[in-house]
Amino acid sequence: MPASILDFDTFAHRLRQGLRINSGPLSKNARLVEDLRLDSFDLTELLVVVEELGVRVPEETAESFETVGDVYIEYVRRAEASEPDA
Amino acid sequence: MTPPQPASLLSRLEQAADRGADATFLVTDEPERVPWARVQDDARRLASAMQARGVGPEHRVALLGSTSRLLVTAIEATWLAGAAVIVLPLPTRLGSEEEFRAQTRTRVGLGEVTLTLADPEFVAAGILAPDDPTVTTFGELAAAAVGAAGSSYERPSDDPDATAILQFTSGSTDDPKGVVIPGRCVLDNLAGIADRVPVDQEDDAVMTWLPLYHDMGLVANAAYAMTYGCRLVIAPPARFIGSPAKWMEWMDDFGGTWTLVPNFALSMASRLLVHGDRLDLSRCRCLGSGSEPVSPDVMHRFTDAASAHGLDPKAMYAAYGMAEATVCISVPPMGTGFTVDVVDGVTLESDLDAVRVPPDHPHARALARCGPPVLGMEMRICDPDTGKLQSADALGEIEIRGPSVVPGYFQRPDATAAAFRAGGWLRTGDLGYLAQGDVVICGRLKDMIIVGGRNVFPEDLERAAQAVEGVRTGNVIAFGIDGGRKGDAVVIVAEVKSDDTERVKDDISKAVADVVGLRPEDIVLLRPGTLPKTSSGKLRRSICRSRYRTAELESV
Repeated sequence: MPASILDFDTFAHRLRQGLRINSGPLSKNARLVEDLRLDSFDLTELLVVVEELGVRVPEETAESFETVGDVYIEYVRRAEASEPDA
Repeated sequence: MTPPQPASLLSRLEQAADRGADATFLVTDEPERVPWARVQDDARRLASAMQARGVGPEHRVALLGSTSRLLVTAIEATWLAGAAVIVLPLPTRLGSEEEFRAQTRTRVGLGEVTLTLADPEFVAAGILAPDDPTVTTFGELAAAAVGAAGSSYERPSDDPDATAILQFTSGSTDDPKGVVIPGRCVLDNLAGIADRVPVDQEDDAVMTWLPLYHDMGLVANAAYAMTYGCRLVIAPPARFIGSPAKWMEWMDDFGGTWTLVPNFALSMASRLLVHGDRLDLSRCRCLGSGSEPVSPDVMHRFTDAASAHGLDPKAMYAAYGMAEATVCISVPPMGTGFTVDVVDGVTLESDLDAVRVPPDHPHARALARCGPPVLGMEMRICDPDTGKLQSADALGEIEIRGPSVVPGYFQRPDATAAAFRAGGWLRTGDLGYLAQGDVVICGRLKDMIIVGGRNVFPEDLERAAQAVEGVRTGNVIAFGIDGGRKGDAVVIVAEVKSDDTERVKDDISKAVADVVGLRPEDIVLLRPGTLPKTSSGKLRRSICRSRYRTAELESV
């Protein structure tokens, strides 16, 4: 259960740390494969990072992620849905 | 406990199928549970259809498909037909289709296969040679097996020496070598594992998502369950990759007693177990880490996290193996739990000497103890340069000999001769020593890099990187450093003749991804003439790696 929902910059920072991405700050438009060159381990690691933030992404949804923004939107959507007062 | 050993893989498969256990396929969200006896009936029909296409003893069948009931059936069918199986690797997510096509065709060609079965999408994408009469889909052969072609199975005679598996895990992609694994080696090696971890056919459930083109997935999991007749619960690797929390949930759902993974999966699971729902892992007797360097930190973190879900810490162990030993070289007896040997990390790196120190020593480095060599496996430690025998507790190259050490590489007498010393001792290329009889691995002599349990050769990474515009041809070094999230972290060091360093780094990253499907963790660009080489111009990878570690490389 997420304690609080992270803003995009904090979320992106957690992703950069978890995936050891050496480039500068991540933009919402950064594409996971084409721009960040995440391989399949990295994409799995990405799911682990998101789950550590309290959100489980289903298999089918994970396959459709194209950008960092897609991951963030899914994170917020599921985090909100799991909040008791949402 | 261990049943008497019949003469051949074939007769063992036949006996095991009658024991009443089943295989559960987790290809979709609906598990498909099939008795092994039914798998074997299907496999016998499929074997008959293979025989109608000329497959028999001394032949090889290549299989290209994701983990499914059909793939497992086709592996068994190949063995029932008396032939050897080559399970071909699937494409990596980032890798280019061209590279995948080239690698697949190379292996099919070198394997001199009689028949290739593939998933239809690979045939449609032209991964295999077009109009090749030896290529068909799993589905087409299965359809033929339902008809007349499936009703005339002729059982080959028992031949323990018949090759069961041709495993292409050695050699760079330019020069792959197929490890010839006879059926007798498979049975002997599995008996060696069962001697340490006794099989309980009624109760055991082997849970795996490892790829079947990997020896740990094919031999230590699938063939183990098939030949001992115990339950197998098997998922395609893509399902774990797409949802890593599933592995532990499957262990709970299906009462997994046995599971074996590379280190990176334990690292991920240890973090997920802290957050997820409470699971019941109490049935698990045997949870092993193998096929990439075992991190004691990760083992301890995982054990702590999993204990909260009922895992017995004594179920944890580290194993050591390679395809040239069929799969397993050493494994601790069940119930020992994971243990370490603590040595001076500085002396280890600088003098290649394993000096034992107390755990609170400033240079203390914990190394995984991988148990004693399996039954029948002889081991000695030699000086890698001179071949001189060392004392067992001195650090040196591990050499092995025994009934599950394979005879060599397929049609490569040169490579076979290079791998063995006189007296049938196989050079493993691994550096290690024995701690009170337990194998401890400290590193590798070969420059091979291990990522996610997969062997990656620096030559392949270097070839990819030097094709980039602005990189000086022949002036690239690739190496792995430990401590990466997914095994070794890949580092590329390249001399450049371009000022556009960001573009060059980006292109190298892309080129490496195309060829091996991996993202390098770091790329260092050097001025021309500064890459470490010998006087004859050969690349000095280990010097380069140590300069990288000590930050002595001056990047442009």
